[in-house]
Amino acid sequence: MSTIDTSTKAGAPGEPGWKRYKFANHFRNAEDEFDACKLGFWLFLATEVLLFSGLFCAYAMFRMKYPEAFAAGSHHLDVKYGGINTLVLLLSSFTVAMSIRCAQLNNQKWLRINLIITILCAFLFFFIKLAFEYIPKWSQGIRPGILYSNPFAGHPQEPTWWSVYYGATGIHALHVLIGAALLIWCLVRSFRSNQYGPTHYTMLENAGLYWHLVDVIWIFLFPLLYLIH
Amino acid sequence: MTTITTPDTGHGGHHEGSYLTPNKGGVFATIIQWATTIDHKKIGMMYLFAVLGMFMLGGVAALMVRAELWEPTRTIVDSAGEVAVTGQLFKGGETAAENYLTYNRIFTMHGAVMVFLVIVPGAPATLGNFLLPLMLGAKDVAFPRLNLLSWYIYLLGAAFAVLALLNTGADTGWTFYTPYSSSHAGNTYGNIVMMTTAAFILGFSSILTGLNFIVTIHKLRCPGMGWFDMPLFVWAMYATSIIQVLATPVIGITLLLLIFERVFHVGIFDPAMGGDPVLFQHFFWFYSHPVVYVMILPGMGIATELIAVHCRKPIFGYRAIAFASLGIAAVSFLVWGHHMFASMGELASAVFSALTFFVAIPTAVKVFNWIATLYKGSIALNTPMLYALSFLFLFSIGGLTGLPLATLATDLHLHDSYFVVAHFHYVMMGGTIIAFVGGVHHWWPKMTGKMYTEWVGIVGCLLVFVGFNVTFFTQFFLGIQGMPRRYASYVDEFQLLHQISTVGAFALGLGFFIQLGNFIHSLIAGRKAPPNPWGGLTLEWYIESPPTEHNFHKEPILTHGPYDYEDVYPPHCDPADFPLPDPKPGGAKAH
Amino acid sequence: MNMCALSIAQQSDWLTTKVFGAAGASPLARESDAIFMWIFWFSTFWFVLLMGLMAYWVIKYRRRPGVAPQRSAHHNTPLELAWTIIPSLFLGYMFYVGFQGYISNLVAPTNAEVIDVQGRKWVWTITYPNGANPLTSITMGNNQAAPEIYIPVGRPVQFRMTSADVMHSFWIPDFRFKQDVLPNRYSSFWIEAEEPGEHVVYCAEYCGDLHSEMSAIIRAIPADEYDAYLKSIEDPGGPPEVRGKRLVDTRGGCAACHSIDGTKGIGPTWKDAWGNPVQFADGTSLAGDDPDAWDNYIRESIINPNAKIHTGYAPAMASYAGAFTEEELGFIAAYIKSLSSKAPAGEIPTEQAPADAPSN
Ligand code: HEA
Ligand code: HEA
Ligand code: HEC
Ligand code: CUA
Ligand SMILES: [Cu+2]
Repeated sequence: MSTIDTSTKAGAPGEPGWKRYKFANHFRNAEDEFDACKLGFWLFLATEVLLFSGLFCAYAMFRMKYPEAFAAGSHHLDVKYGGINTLVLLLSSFTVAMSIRCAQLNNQKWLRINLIITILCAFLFFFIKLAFEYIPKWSQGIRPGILYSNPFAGHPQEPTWWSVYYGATGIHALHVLIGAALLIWCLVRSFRSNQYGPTHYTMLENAGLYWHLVDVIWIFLFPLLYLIH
Repeated sequence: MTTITTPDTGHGGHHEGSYLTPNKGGVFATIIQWATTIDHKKIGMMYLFAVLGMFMLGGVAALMVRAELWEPTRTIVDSAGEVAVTGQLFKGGETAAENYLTYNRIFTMHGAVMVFLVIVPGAPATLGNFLLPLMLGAKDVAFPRLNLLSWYIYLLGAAFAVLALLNTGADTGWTFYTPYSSSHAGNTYGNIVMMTTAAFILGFSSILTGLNFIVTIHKLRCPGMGWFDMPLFVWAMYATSIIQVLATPVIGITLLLLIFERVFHVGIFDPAMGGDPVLFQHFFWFYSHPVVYVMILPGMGIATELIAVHCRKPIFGYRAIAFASLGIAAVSFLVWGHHMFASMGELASAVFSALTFFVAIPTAVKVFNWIATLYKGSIALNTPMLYALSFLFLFSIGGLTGLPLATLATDLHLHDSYFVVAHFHYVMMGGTIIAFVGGVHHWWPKMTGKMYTEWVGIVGCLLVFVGFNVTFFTQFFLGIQGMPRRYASYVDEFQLLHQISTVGAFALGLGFFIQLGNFIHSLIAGRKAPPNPWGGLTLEWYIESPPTEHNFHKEPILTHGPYDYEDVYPPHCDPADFPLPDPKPGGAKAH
Repeated sequence: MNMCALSIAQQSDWLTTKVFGAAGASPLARESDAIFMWIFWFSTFWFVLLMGLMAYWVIKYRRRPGVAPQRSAHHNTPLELAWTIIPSLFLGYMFYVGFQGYISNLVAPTNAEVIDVQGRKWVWTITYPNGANPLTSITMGNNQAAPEIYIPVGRPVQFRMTSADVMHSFWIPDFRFKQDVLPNRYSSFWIEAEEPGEHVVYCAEYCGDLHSEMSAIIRAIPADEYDAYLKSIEDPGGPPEVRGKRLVDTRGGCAACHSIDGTKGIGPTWKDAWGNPVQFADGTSLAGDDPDAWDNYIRESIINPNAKIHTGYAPAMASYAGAFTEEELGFIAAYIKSLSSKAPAGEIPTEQAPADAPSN
């Protein structure tokens, strides 16, 4: 993960960053370092999945307890926006994978273009979420828990549904932003020093993995929240 | 074993001094050097001092709890004034309720500090950080900067906890049960959020440390070291780390939801809003049961090392212990419901009761193996070994008293009584802390380069042992006879037992005080420690005491297992006289 | 009932009594003790065996000059299998007896007398099968009064429990059983007293400041006396303030926070409260000279206590909405009014007749 930065720089100053990169000195070789970073990152992804699993459990429990409230709440969600966002994320997952591929092929230009598309998708997702879902709902009084003030609740427990909705999508949206930040960081480094190339692209790869995770979690959230009534 | 040669990848050339050597730039530069260090040894030492400090804080709170329980109703924080020790912090009130509130805050603080700030980070972050790379023959952990980040996250979490405390503390108990924690509208409003935030932040520190260790163990073992050549302490750390990584995120989301509940009343845990308080308990214990094995597994690992080294015997059933560690880690995820027998349905209770017994089996296997290791050994009765023996004694009592708690018919009587209090102090204090303190004695020469005074160590250990039993054995009887926990006042029948317990607690405190003095004395005036004072065979004993900045001068190559005493020491030779492996510049070659 | 467990434990009756302080109050309780003692002997066996070996070997093989450790096996598969499998079998059996004992405590006989229990910070409120809920209480050595619960000897009694606020737990040590008491949910278990006697009840789930004072006392009395007692408490009626006092003492548990003698508790005292001005935390106030305003304020304080906060007090009171009918709220207001010297003449407190509790 971050050990990339502990590297001692080697090689001629004029060369691209990925050629100059030297692995951290407590590793035996670059391959070991790459594997270690990957393993560490996968573990980190596991913790992320577990974090969300708590939310999924809460969802399942309350769905069993108050099925009508969940149906009522779910009807307020617009499949259109959820669907568009799903497509946006799927596209971005594809482009981030492509940008890693480009790094492996040393195609610096398309690496950046793909990365830029991914980042734009991230913001598009966030924008749609905010502008067409959160803000209108919030202003109608459709809010979590005690803040709920919409007079037309379909069920007395509807606020609970909205708590779950805001909790799950809110934490997911936070992850979208974190993911975007990681990708921007990669982009900056790519522009600055051609940091990623065939022999060294650890950070890009991990940021990509993180982005896939964000995508996968949405793939679960979307049907649970928007499609099942 | 195999011999692999690898190119010298690092600073093999020049020989630096010990990692403790102060920076030449003076005090300020030295402080900066420590604060920004990515050296696992320095980070481990910083953790060690923080954890010991927190232990004192928790210990002082424990003594206040015991002082309060000296009499059935009078409180040490009665109307007349305040607790002398803390001045304004714990003000007495005008009514019984306000005094009880103070008591409730004190035991909450005791429990929360001991669990989240002492025992969970305890062994992994201190001894684990210091020893793991050394035992593996590595230069550092896999992600040194992440390690430093964990340390600062720990500090941040500790700061939040201390802040909550300075602000009079929370009164929820360390379990934060809803709806009390989410609805209680007393003047502890902000403190509960602050305390929860502290636990939430500390969780990240724990996750990152665990993650770091797993990768380190996978990737940084030195040439020649297969999985089954690792010291058992490393195996224990491995199992611990798995639990840390897999269980902690769940408490993360739980505490986050609790904070939402508290601040926005989202209605997930609060029954007044249609939420489910039992769901909180499930979430909480899904983490907090596995975490008791985060507490005990390192303790078991330490005890294993101490027993092997001080008996000069190969551990009996090495693989059984290694697999038992993993087995405990695996089963620990399936038994959380045994804390909720009184609030769950029958079916769930039955399932969890049955599963709980499975966790006792690998533990029993370990105990059998430790005892069998003593057979035909050469047992040195020094301070670390006495701690190891105390550990076996106390942990066995603690573990065996877990059995009536796991049994449904008896737990419904014993649940939330002092029997539970006694059980978990026997395993946490008598198990983990005792093993940990033994481990600190054992590795003290390596960490500081100084020896401590042996007889003082022994006296301290005996006092701790006796004081501990006096304090907590009585509590088993209190619990069986009907004394509920978290009680600021109680009926007169229980007074005698409570008083015995209080006397024991102060003896225990004195014991720790002596040990503390011993350490301080050793730092100031201790004899210089040889590289290998005990004759250990794991790699950390092959380098200087204290180690140099880069641990090994050259990448070590493992040539014998961690406990191959029988092969390394010539037969029929007096181990005490046998010249120990000597660290030579340029190679930590064994044998 | 498990014969094996019992027979082992019977031989140690003396020890059982010593450990538990007193023998269990019912056959189920004694069975639980027997299971405990069985586990105790099981544990003692292993503990003594292991610690004995430890002590013996530590002494025998202590380090002595010139004596080296001897070689011995590093592992022994049959031995290791044996010490894995044999304890496992015992543990399986332990689970089984524990489960049996537990289930018998939960599933009440169909003819059980159902007594409703409500937990509230920090009192237990009892409603008998005939709907009456009188409160008589004793002081148990600590500050707060412990309500008395009467049960018939020789008849199964089921407690059906729920909480009005946070979690509590209903523990009767003499019967070796407890269940948590949860808001918005019922939990239950049953007991059967063999002989007349007293049994303490504790709250075993942490519930706030006075958690340690939240006790009760169960008085087991002969069944005919119990029936007579139930008759005697059926709707006693009386003037409004007397009925109000009864409600406050039995269902409300208000005394945990409100005194009637002028001392300051968690909440304001009721003595001379009615008719006097009150200052609120938000700056507004209640003048006090308007009797209707005061009656309304009482009503509001019970239904929605946090609407107006008396300055100097924490918003500690939970809402009692739904706990009382409108009529009952009127009685409570009448009672609080009767505690004030400002109350109009003719509404001066009538001392409630001593509770018609049978002696035992
Ligand atoms: C270090 C921490 C630690 C450890 C290791 C354990 C270990 C065990 N614990 Fe404990 N426990 C706690 C910390 C720990 N516990 C805490 C903190 C609480 C209370 C939390 C709270 O409510 O605040 C608690 C509460 C608790 C409960 C809930 C009680 C209640 O609230 O009603 C239960 C119930 O099943 C339980 C069971 C067990 C069991 C079966 C083990 C087993 O793992 C023990 C296995 C060990 C042995 C069996 C002994 C050694 C073996 C031998 C000597 C060989 C011979 C043995 C056999 C042949 C069986 N524990
Ligand atoms: C690691 C865990 C740990 C440890 C080590 C301890 C250690 C001790 N504990 Fe604690 N305890 C808990 C974890 C722990 N506890 C938890 C989780 C709870 C439950 C909280 C809850 O209900 O929410 C609890 C609850 C608890 C209670 C029950 C409170 C109640 O339910 O009302 C009691 C009562 O006796 C108690 C006592 C003690 C005592 C006497 C010690 C002693 O062993 C302490 C000895 C240590 C010292 C005395 C300090 C060390 C001294 C020095 C280093 C030198 C001297 C320095 C100075 C004096 C400045 N503890
Ligand atoms: C948990 C403690 C608690 C309990 C139990 C409790 N109260 Fe209160 N009560 C308070 C507190 C604190 C206040 C002052 C703060 C406020 O105004 O809400 C208060 C205020 C009041 C007031 C307003 C009095 C004044 O002088 O401002 C009335 C009337 C009242 N309570 C009635 C009751 C009744 C009736 C019950 C039982 C059915 C009851 N309370 C139970 C804590 C409690
Ligand atoms: Cu009610 Cu504790
Ligand atoms: Cu547990």
